[in-house]
Amino acid sequence: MGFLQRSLTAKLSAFFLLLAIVPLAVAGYMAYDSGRQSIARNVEAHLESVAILKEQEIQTWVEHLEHAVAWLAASPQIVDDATVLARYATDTRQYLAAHDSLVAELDRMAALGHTSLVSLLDGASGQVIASSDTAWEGRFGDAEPYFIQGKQGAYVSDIFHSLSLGRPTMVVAAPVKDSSGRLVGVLAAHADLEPLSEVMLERSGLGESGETFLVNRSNLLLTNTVFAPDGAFKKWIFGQGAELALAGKSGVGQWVDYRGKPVIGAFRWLDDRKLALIAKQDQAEAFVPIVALRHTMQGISIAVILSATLLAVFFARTITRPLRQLVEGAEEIGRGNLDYRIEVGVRDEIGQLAQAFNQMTENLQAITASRDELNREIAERVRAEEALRESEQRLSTLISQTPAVIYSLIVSDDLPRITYISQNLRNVLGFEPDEFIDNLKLWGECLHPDDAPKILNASLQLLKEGRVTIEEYRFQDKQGKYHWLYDEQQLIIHEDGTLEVIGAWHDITDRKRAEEELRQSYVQLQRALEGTVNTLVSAIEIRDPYTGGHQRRVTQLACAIANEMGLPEEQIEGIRMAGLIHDLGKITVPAEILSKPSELTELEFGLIKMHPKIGYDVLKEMDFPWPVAQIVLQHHERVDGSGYPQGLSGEEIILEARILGVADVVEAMASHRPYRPARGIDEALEEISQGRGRLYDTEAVDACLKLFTEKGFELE
Amino acid sequence: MKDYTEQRGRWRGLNRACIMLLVAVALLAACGPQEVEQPPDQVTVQLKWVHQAQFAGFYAADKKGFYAEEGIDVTLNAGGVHLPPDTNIASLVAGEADFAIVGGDQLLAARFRGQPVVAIAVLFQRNPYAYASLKGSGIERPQDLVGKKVMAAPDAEIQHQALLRKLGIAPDAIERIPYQRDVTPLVTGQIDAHLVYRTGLGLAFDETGYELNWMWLEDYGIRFYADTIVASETLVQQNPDLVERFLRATIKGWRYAIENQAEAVDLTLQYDPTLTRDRQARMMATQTPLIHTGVAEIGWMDRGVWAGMRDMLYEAGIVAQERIKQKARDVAKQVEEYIKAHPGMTLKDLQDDPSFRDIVIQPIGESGYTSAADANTGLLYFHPRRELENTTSAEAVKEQFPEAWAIVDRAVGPTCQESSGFYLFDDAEGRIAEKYVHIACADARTADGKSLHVSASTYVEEYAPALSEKEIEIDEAFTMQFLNNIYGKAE
Repeated sequence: MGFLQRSLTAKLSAFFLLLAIVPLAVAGYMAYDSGRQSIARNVEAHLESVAILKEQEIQTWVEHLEHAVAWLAASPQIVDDATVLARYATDTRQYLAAHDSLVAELDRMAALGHTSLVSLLDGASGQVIASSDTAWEGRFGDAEPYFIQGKQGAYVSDIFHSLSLGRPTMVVAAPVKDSSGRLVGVLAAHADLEPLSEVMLERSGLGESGETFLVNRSNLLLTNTVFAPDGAFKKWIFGQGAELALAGKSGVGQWVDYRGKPVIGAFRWLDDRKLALIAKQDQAEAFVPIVALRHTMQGISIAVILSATLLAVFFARTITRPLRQLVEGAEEIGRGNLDYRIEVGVRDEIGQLAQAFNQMTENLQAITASRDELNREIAERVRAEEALRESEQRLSTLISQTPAVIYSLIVSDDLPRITYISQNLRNVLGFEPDEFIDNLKLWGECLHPDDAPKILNASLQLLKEGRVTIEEYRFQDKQGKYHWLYDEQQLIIHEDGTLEVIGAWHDITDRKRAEEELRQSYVQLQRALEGTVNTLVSAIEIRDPYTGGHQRRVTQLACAIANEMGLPEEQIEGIRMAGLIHDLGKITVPAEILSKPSELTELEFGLIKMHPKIGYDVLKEMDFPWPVAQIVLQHHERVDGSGYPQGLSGEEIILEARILGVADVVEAMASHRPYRPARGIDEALEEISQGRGRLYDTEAVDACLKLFTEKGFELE
Repeated sequence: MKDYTEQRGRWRGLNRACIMLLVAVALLAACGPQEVEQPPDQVTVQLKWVHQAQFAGFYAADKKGFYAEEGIDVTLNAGGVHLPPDTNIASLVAGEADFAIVGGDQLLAARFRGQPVVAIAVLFQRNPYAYASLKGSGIERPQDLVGKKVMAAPDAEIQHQALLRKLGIAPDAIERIPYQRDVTPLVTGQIDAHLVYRTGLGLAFDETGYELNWMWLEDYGIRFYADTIVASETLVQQNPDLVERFLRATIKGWRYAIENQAEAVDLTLQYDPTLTRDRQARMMATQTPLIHTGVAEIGWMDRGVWAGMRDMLYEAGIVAQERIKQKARDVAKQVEEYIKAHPGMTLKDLQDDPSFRDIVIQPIGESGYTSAADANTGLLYFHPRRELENTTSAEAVKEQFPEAWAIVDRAVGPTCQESSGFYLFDDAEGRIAEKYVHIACADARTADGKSLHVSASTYVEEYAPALSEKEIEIDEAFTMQFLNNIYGKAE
């Protein structure tokens, strides 16, 4: 039963089944029942008519016997003879004659059939005085009912088993009265029960199992039957049909017979004879036609049940399958798998339900996601707040620990207000922070007037552009002494538009002093260095005035080229330094070679070629802030590697050296030389143009050309 | 939703309870009508003779469980030559047996003796005694027996005499040969007719191969009930339910036996495997028409028949004889008890004891009396005429009254035996009349070692007619109540 409740398939199947079966069963049963009823009525009617027929036959037979006996008993011949026998003694002639005559009559009657024995009993003693069977004469029937009753009137006995005849019989008796009405004797005929037996055994039209029989008041079977062929007087019948008949009823019906089998038939109570007459047939045989129908109906029913079941299950499944998918889907989603989408494959209401489900799942997902995000945000915010609190703490600690003075300005309505200054103010400038809060005036007073405009600018710029500005300016402390402050300011624009400037002061007064001293010493150093170089230059000039002038002019050109090329000041300074002494190595070259007016020999040129290296060796020990030694070493290198002394090429040659190289060549060609007259600037430019990129640095050449051609540069 | 589920649960629970209740009730109903399992009643049945198909109905009722259905556990005790009907009646009265099968005449005899027994059903409604004669001997009716030699079984004597009386045949017109339980005399022609038990010796006649005529007494209006089921009045009054149940099962058994005769024979053989199937089968077939005629129910009784039987017994003097017999026995019992109660008394003492004399000498009717003699010698010790005591010797009696002496002679001996008979007595006044005497034994010894037997005698002619109506009425001898109940017949 629980299964039916849990399964829609089962429910639907059961329902379909019922729907198919119930009408079929009802119709089938009704057809069967009606058919059965009609057959039953038929058979009952038939058997009843058979029973009535037999009843009438029996009646007729008995009546016939009664009449015969009565007639004989009343016949004059018998009466006369009987009277004689009663009057005369047994050994008289009259007696014997009457006796013989009587016996002849009785014989005649017996010969007619239907009776096996006819006797006359003496009215007084009941002794058999004449009989168709001489053996019977002398017997006494005084105790017999047929004699006792027969004395009074016609009598038919019950059927009983005669000991002397050795078989069942029935006695029909009638009184024999003389002319004055006095009883003379009783005529008794023992009937031959063959006809009765035949009547009952006649069973045409009763089929195989049909039978008729007689039962007496002791439930004793009196005639043989089909199923008890030797049962007469030896079998008691307690079937329901017999019981009803013995209760005095006549009718038709269906009952269980003496064999215990269901039968259909008719029963009659023969009241005259006090006998029950049964005519019956086995229901199995009677209902054979209907049995076929029943079997057919059963077969059809089974087929219908089967096919209905199959169809029912099939159709039920078309409904339950999608539902089951729905259920599974819902379970899956319920487990938390919000990505799961239900697919049922049908478009009907269930499909719509699935769609609605999926939509719900999506919404759920979104909600969940946003909720998750919200949670995350909240968590983050909490974290952030925490972090903020922490950092504020740290900040506070840092601020209190840093040597810097932290301040904050709020700019509202274009006016800055100091809202916060850290406690360090006390240590650094001796002021109390409260003195400055909302006291911009004081701040303005403390500011060094020379620095004020610069600061103002910077502030405006800060506010406008929001860049981090760093300014250094002088600020008065409490005692009026000026301190150099390093001020780093930052603009914060709040959401509500409020502008806040956060700044940090570092007292760099000491540093500034140190810087100044450093600068001074640097300048000094520079001067010393210049002095040294000048000395060297002078030394070279003294020795070779030509080379000195050359160095100066080369330097001038090189610097111009460098400047044209946009090199930074420091680099240009380095070129200048190197340029001034780039031919230092020529000291070691004999003067005669230097000023030789004719072509140099290879040996002599070899000596010349040594001058960059020698210059390098001298200068390498000196600690210049520029690669002066290298420039000197490389100022004769050429781009394609054809230079000397190392044969460097391209980028291996430092830029300063390349520039110097170009300037050196131009100057050399443009100026007089002891060994040749001045070639002129044009030739010089022609030379470097030709060697551009190959021998001489491309950019340097371009810059040089540009100088002379466009800028109107002139060598001194 | 919760409520609904709860309700459903409750309903289901109730439903289940209902179903279980129904099942329980059905089981109880199926258990049968007996509320309490009673142990079956123990019933002892004393059969009339040895185990044979004569009692097939009882065997069927026993073996087929009909008694068991009625809650009876039955014991069927075989009778035999060693158990005369008187003994079976006595055991019934004593309560040793609950039911006994005796001949209808024996039942009436017991009633005449004053014993409180009653017939509840008659199995053999037709008497099995019939005259056998050879076919062709010309003896086809009793009238043909005149001048012929006839043997008659002693138990059939009453019927035989009744028949002769009815037919007006003088008893001495027929030559009576002493009875032998043997087919030979007839078949060899030594006798002309033999009155035998049709289902006893009668079956042996069938086996001889000779064709026989059978003359049934019933054909001559002599109806004499044979096997009768008898119970004590006490049982009938105190436990009628048991009697009815027993009878119902017995009748059902008989019906079954008649319907299934072959099986009935098989069942009989279970009680005595030494029986021959063929003989038992023929017994069964032969007795069936005697048991039920097809008109009356099995066991049915007709007052007319009982009355007729009473008349026959009366005519035969049986009534008187039985009363005399009983008187002898009663007095013998009293004597026995007296002697046992007075072990110190010698014969002489007893003879002088007036109380004892009153007991031992009692009148019977007008002129009859009881007397006592030595059980071993026959010497008369106690007599109304005192002078005859101690004097009359056996020889004297033998001489004077040879018939009487024969009767006495049968009684005396090392062990006392009952004896009875008629004798002609010639009294002092010269009246010679027939007397009937019955001698009963008193089982007790006097102080001097004497044992007595008691004689009861009277003039037959005088005694029998003097019997009152009450003494020979038969309405109390049988009861229809059980048959009526069983067959559903209103009386």
